[in-house]
Amino acid sequence: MSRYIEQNLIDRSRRGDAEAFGEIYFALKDSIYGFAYRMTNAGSIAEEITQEVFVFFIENAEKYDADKGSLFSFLCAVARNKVLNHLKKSGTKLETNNFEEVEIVDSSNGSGRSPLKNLLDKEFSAKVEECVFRLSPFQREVLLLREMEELSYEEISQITSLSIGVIKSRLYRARQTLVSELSPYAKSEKVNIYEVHRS
Amino acid sequence: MKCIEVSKNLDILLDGEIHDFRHKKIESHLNICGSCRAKFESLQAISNSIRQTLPGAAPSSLDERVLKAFQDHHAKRESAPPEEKAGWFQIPKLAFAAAFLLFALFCGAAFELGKLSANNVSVSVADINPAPKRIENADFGADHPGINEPEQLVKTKFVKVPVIKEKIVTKIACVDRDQITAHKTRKDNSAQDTFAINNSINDKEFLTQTNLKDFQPVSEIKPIVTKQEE
Repeated sequence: MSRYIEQNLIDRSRRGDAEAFGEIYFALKDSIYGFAYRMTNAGSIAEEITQEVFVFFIENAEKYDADKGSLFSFLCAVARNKVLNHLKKSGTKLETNNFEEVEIVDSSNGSGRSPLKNLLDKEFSAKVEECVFRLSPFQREVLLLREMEELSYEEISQITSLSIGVIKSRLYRARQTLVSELSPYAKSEKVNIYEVHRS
Repeated sequence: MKCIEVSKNLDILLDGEIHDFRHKKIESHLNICGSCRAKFESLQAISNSIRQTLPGAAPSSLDERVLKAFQDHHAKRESAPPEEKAGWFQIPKLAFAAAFLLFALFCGAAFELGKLSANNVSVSVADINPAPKRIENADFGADHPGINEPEQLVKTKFVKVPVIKEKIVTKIACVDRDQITAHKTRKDNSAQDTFAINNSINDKEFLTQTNLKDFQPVSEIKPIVTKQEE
């Protein structure tokens, strides 16, 4: 959705145009829901958070400033705050205590090709999802915003109010953790040995 | 570029956030270094996998609740009094009332301070050169011939005193010098007169003797404050 069209819909929505609000809602609801779901790993919580985000927009539409970012960034920031509040209330630690450098695992087997590249089956996808959820919420949120929504570092910075340096650092740590945890599930390449018989 | 330097930038390369000369250098390195290329491909695999494992669309039951919330909100706004519809243009009534009260207090304080700064007794002497005139004073009775105001230059002293809620009462009575002398020679009990005379002003300029009981000499003038209920 272009910025011009988006601003037009927002203005109409502020004036009570249900059709304009509906267009905004249906365009963004899956992204907001997906982010909330992947952060909380609970469909009911994600649904509740998504509803709260859009109700917040309905009641506070005048607080959105187009100069500060896209509408999605605005709503995502609201969703992020609600997710983090939920995680805090549930007793989840938002940061890992271990700030050591994650050891960079050389996942190559010397052949110059990554075994992880070969893994596209459902089992691996399930493992990835599980490992992503085991990341700390602060690492998880930047990873999801980058991978799921394909947001730039600048847009992620607007949503999370983090510096780009911190975002890069958290992305790096998150990905290295995933590479490290998923390496045992990599399939090894089979080497075929042929005997050559001389006739 | 060395492998250690390339490894630090693989994430940024994956995210498309390298826009300078390093981009080509890293790509060139990946073309020749199998180890770094394998690391980069691992990151790509994880990124692809995360994108493929999307949770799906939001449940449709959510749609009805959100759209209803929108309609309820705007229906409420439509039925609200006009002043509540102004949105962020409306100045909160309480804030406006508080600002007005502060302004009124400030004005009142400024007014009071202005009054206090004027609470200094200042004396200025203005030269007046009126034409001599006869002074009639009823205190001395109708038979009193009265006295003529000296023909010399009369200087008038002005005394500024606070006037709000306070009154300074002054009395000046002109007394003939001859009468003062007569009082001094009288032998009867005239303690009151003596007291009056002893407390009289011997003001050379005004050449008057006054009955100044309970009054202060002009030379030591201090405002006499007589508080009266208004």
